[in-house]
Amino acid sequence: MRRAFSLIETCIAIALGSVIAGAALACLRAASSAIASANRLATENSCMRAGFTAALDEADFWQAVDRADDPTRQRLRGGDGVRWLPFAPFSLSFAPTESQIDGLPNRWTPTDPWPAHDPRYWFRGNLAEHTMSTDNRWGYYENFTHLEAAPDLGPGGSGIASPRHRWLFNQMEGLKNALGYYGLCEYLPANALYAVYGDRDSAVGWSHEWSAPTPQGIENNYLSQRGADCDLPRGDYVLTMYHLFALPVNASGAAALAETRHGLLTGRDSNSAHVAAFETHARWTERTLALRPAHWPDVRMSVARYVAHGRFTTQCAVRWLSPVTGDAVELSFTTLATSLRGARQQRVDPGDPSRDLDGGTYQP
Amino acid sequence: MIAPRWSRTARATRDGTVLILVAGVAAILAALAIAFLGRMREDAAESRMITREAQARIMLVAACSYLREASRLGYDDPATPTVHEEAFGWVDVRDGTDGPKTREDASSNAFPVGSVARCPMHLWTRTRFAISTAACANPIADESSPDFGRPYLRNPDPRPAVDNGWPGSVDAARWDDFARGDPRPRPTSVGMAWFRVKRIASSRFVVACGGGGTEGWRDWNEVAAAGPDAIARFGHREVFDALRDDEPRLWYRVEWSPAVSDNMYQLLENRIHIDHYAWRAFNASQDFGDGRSQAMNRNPVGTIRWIQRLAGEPADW
Amino acid sequence: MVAGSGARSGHAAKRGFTLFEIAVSLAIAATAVTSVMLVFPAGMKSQTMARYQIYAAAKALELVDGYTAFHTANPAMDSEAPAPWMVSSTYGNLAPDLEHRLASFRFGLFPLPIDLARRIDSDGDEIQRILDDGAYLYYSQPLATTGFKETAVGAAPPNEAQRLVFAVVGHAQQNALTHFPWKNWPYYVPYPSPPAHGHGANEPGYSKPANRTPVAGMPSAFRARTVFLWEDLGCEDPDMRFVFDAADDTGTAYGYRDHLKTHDRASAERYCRAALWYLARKGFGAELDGITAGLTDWVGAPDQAGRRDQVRAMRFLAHAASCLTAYVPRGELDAGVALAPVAFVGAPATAIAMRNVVITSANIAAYHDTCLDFAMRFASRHPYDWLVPRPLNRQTMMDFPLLQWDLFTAPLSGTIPHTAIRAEQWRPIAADTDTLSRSIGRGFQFMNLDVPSTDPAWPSGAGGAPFWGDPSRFTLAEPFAPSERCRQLVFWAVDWQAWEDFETAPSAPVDAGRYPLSAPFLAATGFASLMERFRFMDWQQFGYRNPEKTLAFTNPSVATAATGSDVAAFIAGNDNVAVHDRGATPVAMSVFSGRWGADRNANKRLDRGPVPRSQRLRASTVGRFNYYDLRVMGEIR
Repeated sequence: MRRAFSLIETCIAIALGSVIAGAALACLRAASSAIASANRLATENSCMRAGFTAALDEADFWQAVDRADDPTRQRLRGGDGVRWLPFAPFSLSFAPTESQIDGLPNRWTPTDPWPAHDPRYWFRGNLAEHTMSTDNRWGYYENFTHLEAAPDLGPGGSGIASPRHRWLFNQMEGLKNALGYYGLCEYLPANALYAVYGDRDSAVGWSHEWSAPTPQGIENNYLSQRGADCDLPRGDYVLTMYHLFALPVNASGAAALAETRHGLLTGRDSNSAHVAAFETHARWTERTLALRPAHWPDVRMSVARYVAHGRFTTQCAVRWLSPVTGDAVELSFTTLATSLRGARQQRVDPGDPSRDLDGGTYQP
Repeated sequence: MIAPRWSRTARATRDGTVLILVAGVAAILAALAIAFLGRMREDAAESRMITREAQARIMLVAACSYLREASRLGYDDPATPTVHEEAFGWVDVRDGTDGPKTREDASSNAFPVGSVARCPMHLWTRTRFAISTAACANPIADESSPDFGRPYLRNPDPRPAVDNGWPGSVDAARWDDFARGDPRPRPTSVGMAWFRVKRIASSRFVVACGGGGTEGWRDWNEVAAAGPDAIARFGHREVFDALRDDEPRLWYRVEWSPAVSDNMYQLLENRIHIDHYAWRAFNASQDFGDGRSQAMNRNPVGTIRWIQRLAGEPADW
Repeated sequence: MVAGSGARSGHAAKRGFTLFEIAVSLAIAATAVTSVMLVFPAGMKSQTMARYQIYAAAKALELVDGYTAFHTANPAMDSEAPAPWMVSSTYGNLAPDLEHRLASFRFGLFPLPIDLARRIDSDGDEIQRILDDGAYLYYSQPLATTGFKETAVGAAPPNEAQRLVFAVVGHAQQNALTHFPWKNWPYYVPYPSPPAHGHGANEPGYSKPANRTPVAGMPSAFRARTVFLWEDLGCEDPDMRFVFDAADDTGTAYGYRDHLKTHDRASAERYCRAALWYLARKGFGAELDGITAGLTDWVGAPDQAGRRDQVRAMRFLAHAASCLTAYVPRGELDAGVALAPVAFVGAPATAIAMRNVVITSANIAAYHDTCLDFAMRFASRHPYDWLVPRPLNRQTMMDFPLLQWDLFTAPLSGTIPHTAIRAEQWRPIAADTDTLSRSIGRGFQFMNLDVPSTDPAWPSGAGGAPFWGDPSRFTLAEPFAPSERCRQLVFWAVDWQAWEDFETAPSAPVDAGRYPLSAPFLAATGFASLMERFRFMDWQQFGYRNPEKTLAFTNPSVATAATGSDVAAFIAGNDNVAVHDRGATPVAMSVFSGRWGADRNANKRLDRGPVPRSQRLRASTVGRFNYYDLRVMGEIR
C-alpha cells in the first residue's frame, strides 16, 4: 500500500521549500536590481568613456572646428579679403602684395624657427611710449620700424620716414589679419610685444587696434583691453589678463570674423553673464551619441580653446544627464594638445595638396 | 510484492531530485554571475585603457618638459667642478646655430639632428638630489601657540631628503648619498610610461608617448639590436609584442623656442605720468597707491612654440 | 516470496525528503545565494571604480597640464630684502614642484584638512605614510583650472570627482632658485633707454644711501615713495650719473632728466652731448663716426668691463640721439646736427678727448641698431654678469641665471625683523659663482647694500662666514636621465564629504611663505605692520594665501549654524569684493589659516555628512600616473 506524505512531513516540506524559494526569490530580486544598477553604471561609464575619448580626439584633431574632409563643415575658412578666419590657408589670407620686405620674403615661412640672435625679430619700437598720451619727446621711433615703407609722420615727425626694419611688424599685422586675435597669440613667440606703428588711421604712433585702451570692465574689439593707464606695448600676459581671446566655434561668416577680433571678459571684473557669453562664443558642444536608446544618458562632449593670462588652454568637458535620476554630472578638465598651428599643419591647402594651410610641406 | 522496475528507478531518481534542482538553480546563478563579472571585467579593462591613454598624454607633457630642460641643463663637465657648463638652447641664442652647445663651437653640439633619446619613466626609490616631501617647512602656528597666525620664516627651505645635520651642525657627511640617490625603481611605477624624442630639425622634434611597458623601444628588432641587456628586460619577443599591443602610443611633432613669456606688466611706469622709463617697484610694499610690483615671470629653459598630433605612426621616430 | 509489510513500509518511507537532503539543499542554496549576493555588489563596485578611474585620468591630465602651463607671475609680491627670511620669494610656495605650484586658490589644488586625512585608511597604509613624511593629501575644486574668476562661475553640477583625493609620491629633485632675494635678477630695461631709475620708498640711510635723493622734477604725487636713480650704484658705474643728470659750470642742466622736464630741441641736444661725454669717458667714440649701418660686433677686443661699457654707451647714445628726430627737421637732420664737447661739474676726466660730433639721421638709425645688437649679444652670452640690465625688447631663457641653494653648508642666519626669533636660510650658489660674485652689484629696493653686505644692521652674512655656498655642490647642470625627474600622482576614492565636519574642519597648516609679507621698511612699527603693509589682490598674487582662501569661512558662527544653512555671506570669496585674511588681527589670521573651515563642496551652504568624526573611512586606490617634475620654473608655451 502506498504511503503518502504525512501532514507534518508535508508542512515541513512546504515550509522548508518556501524558505528555499523565498531565499532564491530574494536573491534573484537583489541580483536583478544589482544587475540593473550595474548595467546602468556600465552604460553611463561607457558613455563617459566615449565622451572622454571624443573630447581628447577633438583636442588633438580639431574636427569639430574644421572638418578637413567635409567642405560643408569648414566654418572658419572664410574671410572678407582683409580679415580672415583661423583656418583660411595662408595662400589666401597671408599673401600681401608687397612680396619682399627688408630683403626677406613678406609671407609666413613655416620652417623659420625665429632664432633669437637674428635682428629681424627684435622689437624696435619705443616700449615706454603710450598710445594715447605721447608727445614724442623721446623721438619718433617710426623712423626705425614701421608697417609702411614710407610713412608720413606729419609735420611733427618731419614728413616721410624711411624705416629700415619693417619685416617684424608686417609679420605681426599679417598674422593678425589672417588668424584673428587668438591665432595671433598662437603664432607669435612667447616673448612677443603686441604693438605696431601705423594703421589705417595714422602713420604716427601705435596702431589703435593693437594698443588703444578701453574702459576697464568693458568688452571690446581691440587687442588691448585695459584702462587708459595701461596703453604701453604689452606681452601676452597682460594682454589676456582681464580678457581672454577664444577661438569662436559657433558662429560663421561675418559674425565669426567679428568674434575672432574680440576679447571676452572673464577675469577680475567679470560676472556670470560674462562667463555665459564665453560659453556661447567659445564652447563647442556636441552629442557624443546622436542616436541612443531613450534610457541611456544624454552625453555631451565640449571643447573650448582660449588664451588667458598668457596660458593657452584646451578645456574639455563631458556632461551627461541621467534619464533615470535626472542628475546632471560634469567632468571637466584641461589638457595639452594640438595647437592651432599644429591643427593647420594637419590640413591640406585646397589649392595645393602638397602644402598644408601654412604653406609648409603637408605632413599629417 | 516486489515493486515494479519503473517505480524502483523513479524512486532512485526522486531521491536526488531536490539536490539536482538546487544544483541546477545554483548553476544558473553561477552562470549569471560569471557572465556579469565577465562584463564588468571588460568594462574595467576599458577604463584601464582610458587610464593608459591619459598616462600616454601625460608623457607628451613630460617630453616637452624634457626638451625644454635639455635645451640648457645636463651638459656640466665634471672636469670643471667650480664652473658648471650650461647650453644655450636647441637653436643657440648666441648665433643661431644648432645646439645644445656649451661653447661657441659648432662641433660641440651634444644632440645633433637625427639623434634619438628613449626615456622610460619610473620612480626611483629616492632620486638624486632629493628634497623632503614636506609641504610646509614653516607652518603657521595654530591658535594654541603664542605665535598663532604669524608667518615666521624660521626654517631653511627646502631640506634634503637625507640628513644634513640641520637643525644641528650642517655638514656634507651624506653628500655622496644625496648625490647618488637610490636608483632602484619603485615597483608601483614600473612599466607604465615612457616617451621618446627624435630631433628632426634645428628646433623640431618628433615625440612618441606611451602608456605601457615597452620602455620606448619601437619594436623587437630594435630591442634585439640593442644587445642582451635590452633583451633581458623582456625575455622573449612574445612578451614585448604583448606589451606593445596593449599600450597606447601617440605621436606628435613639436617645436621649441628660446622665447619666454614677457615681463612687461607693471615693469615700466604705465600709469599716466610723464616718466615712462621709471621702473615700477620690485617690491609691492614700496609701490605707491596700487601696491603692486613687477610681474616676475621666470623661465630659464624656453617654451614649446607649437604642437601637432600626427595621424599615425611616422616612418622614423 | 511476497515481501513483508514491513518491507513495503520501508519502501514507502524512502519516497519522502529526508532532513539530510533538505539540509544539504539549504546549504547549497544558501551558498549560492550568498555568493551571488556578494558578486553583484562587487560588480557595482567595479563599475564605480571604473568611473573613478575616468575621473582620475581627467584630473591627472588637468593637473599636469596646469602645472606646466600656468603663468609664473605674481605682480604684487615682495621679492627683495636684505635677508631671505624677510620675504617669501625663495620658499616652497614658489617652488616649481607640482604640489607647490598648484596649491593655490586659482590653480585648484587644495590640501585636505589634516584632521580628515588622518582618518583615512588605504592599501599598505600609503596615505598615512605620506602624511607622516609631511606631505599632504589634496582634493580639487570643480572648474578651478579655467582661470575664470571664481565667483563669476555659477554653482557647478555635483562633481563626483571631488570624492577623489590624491597625493604626489616620490621625491622632487632640488629646484633652481626662482628669485634671488638680494637682487631679483633679471632686471629689464627697453633698449635704448636712459640710466635705470624707478619707484621706491624714500628711506635715506635705510633702503637708500644717505646721500641718495629722490629725483626731483618727477611727478610729485608720490611723496614718500618716489623715483630714484639706481643703475649707477646697482651696476657699479657712477659715470652714468652724468647721463642722467648733469650740469656745466654755468649751471645749465644736461642729460635725461633735463630733457624730461624741458623737452625741446635744446634739451635734446644737451642730452646727446651728455651721452657723447659718456662715450668719451669710456674711451671710444671715433669708431662711431659716420656709421650708417649698425655695428655687428664689439669695438676692438674689449674685456668684460669694456663690453659693459659699450652696451651702456650705445644704449644712452641711441636714446639721446633718437630724441633729435622729434625736434630737428628731417632735411637738417639728414645733413647733420653738430654737437660740441662739454664738461660737467664734478665729473671725472674723459678717457679720450671729446670732439665735435655731427649726428645725422642715418647715424641715429645706425646707433639704434648697434644698441640693440650689443644688448642682445651681451645678454645671450653673460647670464652671470648682472651689471647690465637685460633687453625688454627680446626676452629669452638666457636672461635667467641658474641659481640654487647649497643644502650641505651651514646656513645663513639672523633674526626675523621686529622679533628675537632666529631664522636661517641656505647659502646661494650659481652655475658660475665666481663670475657672479664679481659682477653682482646691488639690488634695487635696498640699494644701500652691496651684495653681500656685512653691514651689521642687515645681517645677510653669518658673522664673517662666506656668503656663497660651495660651488662644487651646484647640481642643476649635471647630466640627467628623465626618470630622475619622475614622480607619481596617486588617486584614491573616499567619500570624505560624508564626515560631519568635512566643512568645519580647519584647513591644513599653511606655510608661512604663503603670506604676502612685506620686506622691512623704515616706518615699520612691528612685525604686524609687515603683515599689513600692502594690498591683497587675488588677481595678482597666485603663489600666496591659503589655497582654500576663496572657500574659507570668515566667521566662527558657521560652526554652530544649522546644516544646510546659507553661508554665502561668510565665505571669503574674491578680493575685489572684500579682503578677510589680511593683517594681524585674530580674525584675519584665523581666516588666513582657515581656522573655521571652508565651503569645500562650493555650494555656498554649510553641509555636514552623516558619518561621525570618530569613524574612519577606507580609501580605494584608483590609479597612478607618472609625470615629469621640473627643476625650474616656467610656462610651457
